[in-house]
Amino acid sequence: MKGLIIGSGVILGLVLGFVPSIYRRKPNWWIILTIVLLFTTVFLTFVPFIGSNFATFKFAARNIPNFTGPLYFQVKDVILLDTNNNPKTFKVIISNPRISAVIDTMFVFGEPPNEFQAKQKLIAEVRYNFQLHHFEYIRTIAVNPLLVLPFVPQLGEQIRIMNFHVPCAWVAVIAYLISLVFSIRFLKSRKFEFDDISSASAFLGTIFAILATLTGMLWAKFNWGSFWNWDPRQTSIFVLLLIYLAYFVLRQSIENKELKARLSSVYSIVAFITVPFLVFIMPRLLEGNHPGAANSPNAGPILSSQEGTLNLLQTFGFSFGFLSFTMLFFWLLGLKIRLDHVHKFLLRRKNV
Amino acid sequence: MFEFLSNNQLYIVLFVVLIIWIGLFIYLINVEKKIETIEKLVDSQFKNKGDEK
Repeated sequence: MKGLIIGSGVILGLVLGFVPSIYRRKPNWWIILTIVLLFTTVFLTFVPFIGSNFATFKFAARNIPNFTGPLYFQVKDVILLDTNNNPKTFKVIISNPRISAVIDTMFVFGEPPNEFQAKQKLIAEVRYNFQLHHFEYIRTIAVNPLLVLPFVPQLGEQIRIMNFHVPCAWVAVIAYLISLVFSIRFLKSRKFEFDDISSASAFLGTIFAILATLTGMLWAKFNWGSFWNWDPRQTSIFVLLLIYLAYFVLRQSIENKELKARLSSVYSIVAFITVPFLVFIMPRLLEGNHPGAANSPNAGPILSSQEGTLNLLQTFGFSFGFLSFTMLFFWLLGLKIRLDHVHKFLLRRKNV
Repeated sequence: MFEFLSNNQLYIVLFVVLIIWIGLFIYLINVEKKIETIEKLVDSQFKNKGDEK
């Protein structure tokens, strides 16, 4: 299911990218759709609250000392315990808001807030007491939240980054793939417009790869402790950037138009061979800090087969991220190709 | 509104991101229009003198 939703976002983005064609002006509806989809992604990223289910919360509490976090639950019953205690202690029977059969207990020290009424769905900051096996209430975060994002222990609030950072890296891969395809087409047909598309696509791919690296670095500072750790994921994107920067150096260093196009096309084909290995395979084979590394639990949130790691909302947000970023990329690519085309044409006119 | 934003600071981030995207889109639409104008100009000026394709 998860794969289907994310995959359809990816494929729809690619299909829409080639409508009406890669180098013709995009129709107005297409541009409006791109803008709407991007804003939808922004809303799905920022508007929902983050709430953990019971199992994930206990898993995090077991592994992180003094852990407190957001728990999403439904109030079933509030019971006043021993009245002699000061402050009064209340025992609250809570259930999973989606599956009411999953029941647990929470202790509230002092008068419970007004929102603690039966059938009310809440997100509250709590801690888990392992000696007495109950949750302890700290403060309420949201009452009857409409949209709830899942809680991933490794990420917490940072899960929102996923909707922008991962599509950036993905768009870089698509851009390099398009560069490869048009390089092959150039070598077959020797039409220079294919070479222009290939280089424009590699250029945009490199921009998106740099954006993914920078956003990843910012996140790494707060999750791993420093901006650059030579984590397998960081090392691999660094190598990838070096490979494609060499592509532009190669292009700049050749004056002859025919030779430039031919050599850079061959280079682009060879360079793309490394992309799947550096982006998808190597960071998963080696142990590292990035989610999805060989030592991370459940193969990271995206590929995890565990129920509830990504809920339906986060899956849709993620899929919208892929879709909207892919369309944004195709829009930018079209603009760059058309601009380069006119520029080259005018330059040649000037020289004649 | 002010109180809501002070209590839910994530929404400040939301507005920052929205403003940035709106700015970028205005810029992109502008570039789109300008390229279109130049393309039309080039087409009308050099119509029958052979295109590079």
